[in-house]
This record gives sequence, C-alpha cells and structure tokens, in this order.
Amino acid sequence: MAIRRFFMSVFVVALIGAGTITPAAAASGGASQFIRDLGDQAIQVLQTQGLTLEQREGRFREILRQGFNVDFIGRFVIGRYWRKASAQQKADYQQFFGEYILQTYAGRFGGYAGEKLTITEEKPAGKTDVVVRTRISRPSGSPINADWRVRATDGRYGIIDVMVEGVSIALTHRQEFSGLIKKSGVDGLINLLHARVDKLPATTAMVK
Amino acid sequence: METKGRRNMENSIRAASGFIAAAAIVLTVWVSPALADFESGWQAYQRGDFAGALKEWQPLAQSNDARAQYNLGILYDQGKGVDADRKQAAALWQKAALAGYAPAQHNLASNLISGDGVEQDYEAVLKWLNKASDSGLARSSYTLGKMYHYGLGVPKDVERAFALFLKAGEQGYDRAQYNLGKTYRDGDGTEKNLVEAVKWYRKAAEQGYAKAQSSLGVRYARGEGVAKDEVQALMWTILAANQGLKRAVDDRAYLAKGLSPENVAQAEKLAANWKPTAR
Repeated sequence: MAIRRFFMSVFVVALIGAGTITPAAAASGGASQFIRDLGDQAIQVLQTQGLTLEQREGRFREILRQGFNVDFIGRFVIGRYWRKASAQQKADYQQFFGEYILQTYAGRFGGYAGEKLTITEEKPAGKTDVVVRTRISRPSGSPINADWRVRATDGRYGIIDVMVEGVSIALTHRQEFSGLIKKSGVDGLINLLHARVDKLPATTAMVK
Repeated sequence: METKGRRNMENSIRAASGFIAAAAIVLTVWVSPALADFESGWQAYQRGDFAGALKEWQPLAQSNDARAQYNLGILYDQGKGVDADRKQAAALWQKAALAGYAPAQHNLASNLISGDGVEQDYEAVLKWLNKASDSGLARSSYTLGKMYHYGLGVPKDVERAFALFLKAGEQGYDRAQYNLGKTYRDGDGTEKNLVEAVKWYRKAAEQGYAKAQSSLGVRYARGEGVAKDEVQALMWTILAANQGLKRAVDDRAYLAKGLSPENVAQAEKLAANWKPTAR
C-alpha cells in the first residue's frame, strides 16, 4: 500500500506540467464524449461481419492507437531510465512498447461477443486530467470496470492511463519494467517486449 | 449437442445397414468428432465466445491434440475466456512443441526470451527457433536472425543473420524485409547495395510496415537507391506518421516545409488513397 501510494504520488507529479490544456478541450463532458466516440467506433469495428477476429482486433488496435497517448505512457512507464536511454533505444522501446500495450489491451477489452460500454461517471483528476469511468459488459462473464484517465494535449484528447478494476496499467508496468531494467538493462526490456509482440496468433490450419 | 445428435443418428444408420454408402458415413463419423470439436471451438473463438472455445479445446488438449494445445495456450497467454496465465500458456506450448508443432515451438521460444512463465533460456530459444525455422515458419527464421544479429545466446554473426532475414523476407515477412533493407543500406552482413535496400524497404512498406515506410520515404527524399521524388517521400512519411512513428512525424513536418502547397496536397491525397497489399 505504501509502495502504491508512493508510485501514485510519483505518477501525479509526473502528470503535472506535461502538455497544455485548451479551454475548449477542457470543457465539462468533452472527455466523456471522447471516450464514448472511441467506444462507439470500437464496438462498430468489433461487430463488423466477414472479418476474422484477428482482423477485427487489428482495426481495434488502430482505434486505440488514435485514442491512447502511447508516447506519453511509454515514457512514464520507464521513468528515469528514459533520459539515460540512447536515441536508438528510445526508438526501439517506443515501437515495441506501443505494439505491446495496444496488443494487450485490444485483446483485453475487445473481441468479446455482444460487448457494451457504459459511461458511469466523469470526474476531474488533478489540474489537467479527467477520469471517465466506464463499465464494459459482456453477455458471458462478469463486467469489467475501466477508468480512463484523459488529458488534452495541444487541444487533442489522449488516454494517458487506464485503471482496470482500480489497478493502473501505467503503474503496473512501471513496477514490472523497473525491476527488469535493473536486472537486464533497457536492452533487456526491449528484447522482452519484442518477444511478447512477436508471437503467432491462434490458428485453424495445421501449420507444420 | 448437435454433434452428439448427429453421432446418434449416424450410429443408428450404421447399425441398420450393410451398404457401402452407410460404410462411407461410418468412416466420416469415426474421423469427424475430434475435428468437429476443434472446429466448433474455432467458430466460438471467431465469434468472441472465448469461454466456449476454451470448453471445446480443453479436452482435445488433454488428449494431446497439438493444435488445440497451441490455441488453448493463446487463450491463457492473452487472458481470453480465462484469467491470463503465462505459465500455463508456456506449459501447453511446450507439449505441442515437443510433438513438433512449429507455431508452438515459436511461441515457446518467445516466452523463453522474455522469461514469461518460464526461466529465460537462450539455449532452448535457439533449439526451438531452429526447429520451427527448418519447418518453414518465416517468423521463426526472422527471430533467429535477430538472435544472431544481436549475439543473444550465440556469438554475433551478421552474415548468418542476413541469410535468415533473406529466408523470411522471401516468404513475405515484413519485419524481415525491413531488416534486409537496413542490412543492404549499411552493408551489414552483406555487400552494401542501396538499390537492393530500396527494393526490400518497399516490399515491407507496401504491406503497411511503418518503419519501412519511413525508411523508404527517406530514400526518396535523398534520392538514394531510387530517383529523388519528394512527393513520394512525403507520401510514405505520412503513412508512417499516421501509425504514430515518432521519427516520421518529425520528418513529415520537415519535408512538407520544403514543398509547394500543391505538392503537399498531392502527397496527402496519395497517402489517403493508399491501400496495403495483402500479405
């Protein structure tokens, strides 16, 4: 808990001061509308007939890519190691982290039959951000509570964190990755992310 | 349920007749139950009913169906229809890998690189990737190429890396094609050849691979390995930038500054109408 609180304060500090907010984007309800639009697009894509699950998830990843501020999340997740990384390491890390995070959450949130996204609440978080609370319900299985932390940067909304059942993905990854970087360096982390996104998908054919 | 009903019906046909036609049906019945279960699992998976897929594949996996073990591993790895469990995924892939199933050998190797659900073990990674690469799995040849390129678990060997990228690139794997572009550009593992570099960048770029699109844009901007064409340069850079590639976002602004508004509009139009080639 203490560790969690420590990370939370680090997180809040990290969030303040990056990016400007425009009055139009900050207007109340705007962030909810942004999440609602993303959710509508996502559900439309996920229900498109005639596409394989892999294709639907691929399109869903593109929607998430537009909505997530992947660059920001990636930098936050490796924290102080970002400044020490070489230009090549930064580029490789951002590529594989982006692919990894989009792949993970496209798989986690999407693809389920008959999925629905309901916005339950919108509340300010700190001076710059808004948290949009949602419930993702599925005909089979229990609903997921996902809170989306949204920030407007240069007049554009972007998701900078998601809390699934109260657990922040940014903080979870920060904890996992900092241990790994200590053990095997930034290159070790890049290799791990590369290996995670390099897997083959499910198949119907007997591939030899 | 449907399968069971059909089986019952066909069992009674079998009991009632001695005709060749009936014998043919019997043959289908003997062959089909396992296939039908795998297939209904696959249909459930495609529908987004992952719990349903799990239910179909689980018994097949227990009776050592490598393909079901492999797909079940995907469900555990991604937490679909079940809580994510990388250890369980790795164990399932290990079984299918031992049975010689190449995709499982590849995914197990990925876990052995990242240490997800298993101890990191480069020696085992090389063993499995070599097997899958020998079976013709392009992605495994590429990953193996990367191991040699970086010297992970093996002495660094850029010539060997190049040969493996070439094998995967010729099979159409976009990441390998992009790496071939880089190796030809730098003369890293093969002779330097800018025309070949452009050829391979283009193959990957046309499939939609962002880094290759960005690199192809740079070749066009500099006229290296290809006739200089700033509109093409901007078009490929826009395509890469649209996928969020940082260096392309920077290049895009830089390239657009040096072009007339008409040329910028032309590049934007080309980019908007661009479609990736099928893999």
